[in-house]
Amino acid sequence: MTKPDGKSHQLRRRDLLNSALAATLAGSVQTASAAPAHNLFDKIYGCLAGSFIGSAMGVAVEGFSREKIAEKYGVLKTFEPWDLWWNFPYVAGSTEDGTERVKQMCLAIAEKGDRINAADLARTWARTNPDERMERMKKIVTEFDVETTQVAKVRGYNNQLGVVPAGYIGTVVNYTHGLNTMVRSFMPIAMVNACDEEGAIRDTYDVGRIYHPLTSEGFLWGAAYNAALAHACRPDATVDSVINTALKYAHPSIRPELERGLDIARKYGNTTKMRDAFYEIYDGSGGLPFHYSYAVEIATKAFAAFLATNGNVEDTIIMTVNFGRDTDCLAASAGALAGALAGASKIPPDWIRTVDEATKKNPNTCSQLTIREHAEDIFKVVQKRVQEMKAYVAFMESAGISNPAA
Amino acid sequence: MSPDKNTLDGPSVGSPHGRRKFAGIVGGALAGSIVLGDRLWADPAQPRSLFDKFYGCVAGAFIGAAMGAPVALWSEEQIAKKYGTLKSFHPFRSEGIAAMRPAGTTDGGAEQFKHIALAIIAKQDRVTAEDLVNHWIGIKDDKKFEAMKLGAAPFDRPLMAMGRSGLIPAGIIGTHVPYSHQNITVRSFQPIAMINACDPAEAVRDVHDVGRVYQPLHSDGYHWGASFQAALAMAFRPDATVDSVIAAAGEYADRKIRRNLKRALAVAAKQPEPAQLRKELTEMYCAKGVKCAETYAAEAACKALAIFAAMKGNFEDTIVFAVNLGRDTAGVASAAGALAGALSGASAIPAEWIRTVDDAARRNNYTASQLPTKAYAEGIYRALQNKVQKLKQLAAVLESAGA
Repeated sequence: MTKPDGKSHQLRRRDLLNSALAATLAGSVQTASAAPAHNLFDKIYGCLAGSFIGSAMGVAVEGFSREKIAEKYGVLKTFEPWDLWWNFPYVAGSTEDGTERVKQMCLAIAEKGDRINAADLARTWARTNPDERMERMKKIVTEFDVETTQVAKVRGYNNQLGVVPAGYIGTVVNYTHGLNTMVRSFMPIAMVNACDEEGAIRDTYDVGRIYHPLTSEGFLWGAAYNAALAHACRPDATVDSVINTALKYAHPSIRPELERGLDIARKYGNTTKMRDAFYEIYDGSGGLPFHYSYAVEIATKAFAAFLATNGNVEDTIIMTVNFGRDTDCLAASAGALAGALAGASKIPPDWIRTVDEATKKNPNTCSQLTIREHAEDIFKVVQKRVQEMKAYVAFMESAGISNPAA
Repeated sequence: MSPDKNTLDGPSVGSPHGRRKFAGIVGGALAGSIVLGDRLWADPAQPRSLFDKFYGCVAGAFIGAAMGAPVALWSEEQIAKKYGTLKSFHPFRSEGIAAMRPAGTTDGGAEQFKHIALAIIAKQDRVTAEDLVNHWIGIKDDKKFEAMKLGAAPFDRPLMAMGRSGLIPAGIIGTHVPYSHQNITVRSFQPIAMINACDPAEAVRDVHDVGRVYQPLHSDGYHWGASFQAALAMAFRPDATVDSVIAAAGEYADRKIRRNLKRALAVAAKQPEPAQLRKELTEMYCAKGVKCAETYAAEAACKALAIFAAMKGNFEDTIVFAVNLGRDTAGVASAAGALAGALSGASAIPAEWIRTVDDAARRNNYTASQLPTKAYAEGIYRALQNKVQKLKQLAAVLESAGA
């Protein structure tokens, strides 16, 4: 099986991975309850795993009505093979286009060794998606993923990249306002800003411009969601504190909608009645492109599901893949919240294994790294940032910053 | 806080290669000259405190703006004919304001500085484009805001109106301005260097963020502003020297601007006589006829850094040279003065100069704020203290979480 482009340098980095770290982490993930709840690596791993698993389990029924899912599966709680959208036979556990965006962001963060901005992501897109890869790429991502990548790859008079500033790409490409991109696909942005809610918001506003024009409501939802996700990495985070963080950073124009969704969760809990209550609000199609993939619906439902299941990862994912409409985006978004709070050690290991194995068999994905390898890349960047922060603080203290202004 | 690689190809910013190249150009010429001259910064018996450097930076920015304003866009010859050597403050007229502005009043560019500073002081931390625009939105008194707009540069008035309307996202306001490659990020973004003192990579990040309020994304202003504010951020280090500040400008100069920066610094490194230096700088930058031709970022950054280097960072010499050079006297003197003031501290600045600026500010009815110079320094200093504390806490939380 041919490997996707851009893999070889990842293999080398795997070789250099600290073996002590690998051994420690391997032990903690295998045992369901061994890893302490506040373990940051476990949370980063859990966040990504929740999103990948939600993506892979949900995509098999994406676009199905709630009735059709019930008719076919009763309650869906396994991975199924799928081939819709691209007419390509994906094995059970294969992730979809939203996860491709997540992986590209993980690669960009690893490449830079730091937080990223829009230009960094554009550069990674250009490097990992050369022309030879485009046909394969078209079998796993949407047209706007292809088009934003093509614009990022445009070279100038001196063959230089960046002819179209990355911060304008989302304005010039037809990437509909208000889509859920910054909720469903920005987990790496939140994770590299673990415990730094405002950093997560700031990077959402920068990187998001590669996908959306700045007038998009997607930024508002993305800001609230990624702040909540960054907050979930705190050792003392709880379901309530994650929800409250989202409310705190929700712009006034979107906050009532979020509160309404949370009220539905409190009223109905983890039942089909909750699903049906949301159908009263979000339903139908016709006219608007990607009608079930807007941030307003996905973010509201994701937080509601997270609340209704008290942050239980399995329950959250199973609930949301049976919701109908954009099941993969919803399950990815909800799964990420639950996974970040609970940690990968609370996620069924065979779920993670199924997704990783399917990735290895996927000829069209931009990265065949395991979820854990992506998490390790981000974790190492967080560790490096901590050292840099401490060095800066120490330097400023030695420069007399504690002295009063006089 | 690693260097922010903003070029999409070519050598990355902050490479050891870049550092060595720039050290070679100016280091050889200036090393050893650091101890010459009087009232210099590097007296080990009197290290400048961080606050003194902050105060010196703000004072330099305001003094440069106020002394340069009366001769803004004049030629070198016109200035010499009227003043001989200009080295004091004079009253002047501003477009749109009937009364003469008293001597010591700062110019429209300094208003940009003040708004950013006020946003930082309100937040007590670094700011984003959104924070700056929210600061304008927060000015509820329409009359006061109109007066502030009059005190601002004509360029800024529609821009401030767009921001305060709340209808245009902060990050694309600058896409709607008709003048690109302008010097705002060089001559008015000193508060960004201050809140990122000693952290040039993050100063660069903030230039790219807040800059979007003022300029479209293609603007050379981002590249020059990044280089300049990185240099200024380094000037706040206790061990800063002219050489280290210039080296930082080079380290954070990306592929697009590196050649022009090197050319300007090479002129300074030859240690020419002042008249020769004026001639060479004027030959490099003499475009006219096109609107805002005199306020391009390349000119402001190159002149400010070259003057700072050639004057060996001496505050008075830097200011006087810049205001007599002609063209954007206020902008160049404000930028160069900030560098010199940051390096040598306010205690190296004639107190009378600061007093004149503060007296004029108190009587200025067309300004973002009538605060004295020291108040800006104090406010941003406290914001920096808060930022450092928050970083300390964040690092501690992450470590306790297993990072």
